[in-house]
Amino acid sequence: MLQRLSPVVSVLLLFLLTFQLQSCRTDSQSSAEEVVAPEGPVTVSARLRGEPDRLSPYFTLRGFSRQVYRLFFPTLLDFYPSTMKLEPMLAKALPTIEPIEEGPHAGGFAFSMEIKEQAVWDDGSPVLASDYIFTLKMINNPKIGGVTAVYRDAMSFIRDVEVDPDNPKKFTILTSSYYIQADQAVGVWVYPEYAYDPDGLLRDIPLVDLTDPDKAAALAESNENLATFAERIQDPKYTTDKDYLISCGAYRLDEWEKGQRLVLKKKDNWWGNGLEKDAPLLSAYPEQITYKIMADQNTAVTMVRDEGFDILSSIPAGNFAELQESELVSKNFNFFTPFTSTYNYLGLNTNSPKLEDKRVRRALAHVFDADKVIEVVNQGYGKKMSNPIPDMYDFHDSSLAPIEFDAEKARTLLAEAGWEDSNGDGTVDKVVDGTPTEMILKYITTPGNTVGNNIALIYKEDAQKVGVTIELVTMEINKLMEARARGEFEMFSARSGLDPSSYDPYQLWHTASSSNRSGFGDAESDALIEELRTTLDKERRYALYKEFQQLLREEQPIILINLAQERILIHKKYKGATATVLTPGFHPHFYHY
Amino acid sequence: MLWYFGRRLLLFVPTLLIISLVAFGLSRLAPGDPIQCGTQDLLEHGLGANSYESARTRYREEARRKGLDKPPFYLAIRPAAYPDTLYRILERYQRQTLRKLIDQYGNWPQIQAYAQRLEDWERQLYQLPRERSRDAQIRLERDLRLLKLSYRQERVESYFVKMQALIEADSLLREDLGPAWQALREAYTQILDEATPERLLQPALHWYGTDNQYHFWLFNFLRGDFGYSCRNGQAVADRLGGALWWTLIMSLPAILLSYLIAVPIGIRAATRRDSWFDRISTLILFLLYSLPSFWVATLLIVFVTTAEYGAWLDLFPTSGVGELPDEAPFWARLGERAHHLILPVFCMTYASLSFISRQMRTGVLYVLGQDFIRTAHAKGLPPRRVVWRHVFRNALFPLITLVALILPGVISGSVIVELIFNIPGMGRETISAIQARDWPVVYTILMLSAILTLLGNLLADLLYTLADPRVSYD
Repeated sequence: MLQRLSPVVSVLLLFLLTFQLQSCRTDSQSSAEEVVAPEGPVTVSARLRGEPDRLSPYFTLRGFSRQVYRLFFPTLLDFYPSTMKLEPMLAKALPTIEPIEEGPHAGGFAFSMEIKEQAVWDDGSPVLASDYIFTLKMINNPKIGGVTAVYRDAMSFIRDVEVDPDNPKKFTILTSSYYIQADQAVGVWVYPEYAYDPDGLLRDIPLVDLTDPDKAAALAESNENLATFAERIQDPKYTTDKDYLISCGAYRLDEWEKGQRLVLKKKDNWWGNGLEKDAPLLSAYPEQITYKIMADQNTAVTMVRDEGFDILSSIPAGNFAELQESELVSKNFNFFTPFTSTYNYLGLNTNSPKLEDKRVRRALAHVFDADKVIEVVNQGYGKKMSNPIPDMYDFHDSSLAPIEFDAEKARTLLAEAGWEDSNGDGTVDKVVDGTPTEMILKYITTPGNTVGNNIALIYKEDAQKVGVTIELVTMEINKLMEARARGEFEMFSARSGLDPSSYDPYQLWHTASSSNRSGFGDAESDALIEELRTTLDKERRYALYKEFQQLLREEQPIILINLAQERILIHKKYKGATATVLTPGFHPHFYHY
Repeated sequence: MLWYFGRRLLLFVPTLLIISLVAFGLSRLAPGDPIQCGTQDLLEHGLGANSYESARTRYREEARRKGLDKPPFYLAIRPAAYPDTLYRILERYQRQTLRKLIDQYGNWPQIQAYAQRLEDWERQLYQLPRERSRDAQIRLERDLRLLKLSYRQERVESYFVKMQALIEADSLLREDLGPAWQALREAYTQILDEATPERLLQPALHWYGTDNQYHFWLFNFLRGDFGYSCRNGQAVADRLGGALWWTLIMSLPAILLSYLIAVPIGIRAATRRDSWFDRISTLILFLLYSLPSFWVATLLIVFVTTAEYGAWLDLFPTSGVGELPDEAPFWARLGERAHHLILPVFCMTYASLSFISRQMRTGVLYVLGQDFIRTAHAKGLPPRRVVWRHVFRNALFPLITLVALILPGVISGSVIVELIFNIPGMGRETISAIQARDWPVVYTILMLSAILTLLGNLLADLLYTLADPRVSYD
């Protein structure tokens, strides 16, 4: 089951989620045959698997939306796809970060940035620090609910913004604390104040009052402007109507035919033209980028045979093999299979009396045959992992090897933990809290999770060989979420991803996080995570990462299935177009003939 | 007859009300949380200011914004053991837990006291100084989260035992949390000791008045305000308008073609009963009927929309409805749309041919055996005239009945065909709305379908009288 994307992570990482990381390695299997590039302006078409709900960053967390709006809502900072390094986009340079020694924000950090002098909105007015402040006020408006409220909570470490009196494009963000992804979190999307708040409803409300939850709550009662603004900005036209989606990006939404396509056209005389040499993220070569909405996988695969798309990603392994054999497709497309930073795993409920003992959890890991699963279920795509931090990261602990399939060892570990088949029924048992208990593990899954269910079937067969009975319980997704919240499960399959340059393990592994479904952690692991995410010193942080990986290995709260591998087709007519290291695996604004 | 149709129209009102009640009731029973429609899990918490309390505040705000903090209906008839304020507990899992406790013990005052003690104890636990045994505190927090959602005695007590051991093992924790812990345990014991399961057998009526979810939805619906999609805040009418257009564009030609092809086949098969034509047409139509539309649609897409199997087979566009802009000449757009819709319309048409033609054949065969047809033949009327003038009209009844069924189908669309051919019609919209728990959209589709079903039946009654003047409703 694809684990629900946590809003907290989504927000904290902000635009990072725009680019969930894929492996540094791209594996092109293209033929050397040249395709003649067409005459005329560059156009690109790609498939969207579903309809976006909204196209405004702070009002949606839906992946389909993200792919599209990032082309017309630039961020202050962003990741460069091939290097995975954070680079300035709307900002002139990366922020300088300094601790605040005195004043009301003492103990916090100051992030100083300047917006590029060329950056202008669609009406020609400059993008200013005041627009950034307006954006933060919008996010912190307590009258705005839904997704925006989730952003509000996650960006609560920002207290205030000071504008340079001599330069309205230069500003300093004052925060209450620092954590490893704070520089990315402050470098977010900026909204034009002139377009979204033409009456200046938020102008006279100090940002510092809105970032203080108590003052904000009082203001929500006393200041009608907040409610008026909230009502206006939540009107769907501000998030779906091409005339109201105003930003300073290279593209504008030209057409949105529901259920069919979204057409983005490059703005005439865009301010970023010519700057791509110094700021490659501002590259915007295609004149038109079309996202075709196509839910059905088979139809999408057929369309690509007919060059109905220039880019097709997330192709099922079976279809990918078929397409590789097609002369028509091979003639026109390059095939890419980059590893991603997304990994699949089996979550274990460490609170269950049956799985409390880490030897039992390790035994379960030893009877999971990852090689077989990769070969049979994933048709060879993906690779075994030794821990949830993939080897593409500098802070990956290479001293750890993947846990090997070893039924004998599993039997020994179970016996050491007191689980033996005393009644000869084929399932090991033990007296737990005075009650004879059989090792029957409830594996919860959803009917549509074909991959997860196939994995479960393979695992069930192997586990039974050491006396562990896996009971596959299929339930509707909401029922499954409920079962997980209530702790009424032993195992589930899930998927998680890491971010480009750093990894904050808080979300999945800290005991205070509601997303920590396996129940992993104690005071020691919490302290380790807390130190890790606030340590500026790289060497120390890397040492902590390794310690954390060792701890995860020791405790075995999950069983790793594999590191996922993407399958992407990109038309050969584009020069140098390649599947990139960041999700969605392709970045059409870099493509040219 | 007017009186009859007037009565039928009046009957629409209670029928539609019942349908709306059933739809509303089912939506309440469906899994999933409508408060979270269009958002991520608002109750997720853990980082920064994103505490459990702030997550709950956020959740309550969202419920209020969507009007889901009101009582669901005008009244509730349920066991007396239930309080009239349970709807105020917005968090679905928590409400379900309390409901399950009530179902077991029937003593709401004690359950309420226990829930209150849990909240109090939770507050104390989260306010403990950091220097207390952090490990024990973490485990207590984790167990408490699960205890709050537990209702089976065995499970509740297992958490009590685990938590008691943690508290007992630490003198500071015992001092800080002991009294409240004791009160919590006592509150649970009281639930067990003072259970009143007999109250579960006594019915009680709670009246909530008109400030309820159903009332708002119904009256807005009657005013033509179908509400807003919870996925993107768009007006439901706007959202469905576009989808309806595409469904009509597909459905109407499909229906027309079905009748234009199937009716003559049915008549010919009947008039030449047991002939080669009858046998072969029956075989072919049944063969088509047995082919699932998703399979045929996929085959068509694979084989006749690309040059993969020969350039001459690249006959149709693979999917969608075309890309010509609105400014393009009308005939060019019409041609492009028609080209895109040929395959979907074919898929919607072929399966119904068999059904319609068999109905027609049966109807015609029945009429052909009637005395008045023999008389017509005996009078020397040409066979064609007998068939089309006398037989056809009298054999129309089954077709009229079908028309009544088709009307709601015209707007409900074909999910499979729309999905495979990527047509943004009503079928696709319905499925996506159900999957997203977008109830305002689902209700509207359901109500419109219900209205059309009723109108279809009324229309059929009217058509019966036109087809056969002997039919009278007086």
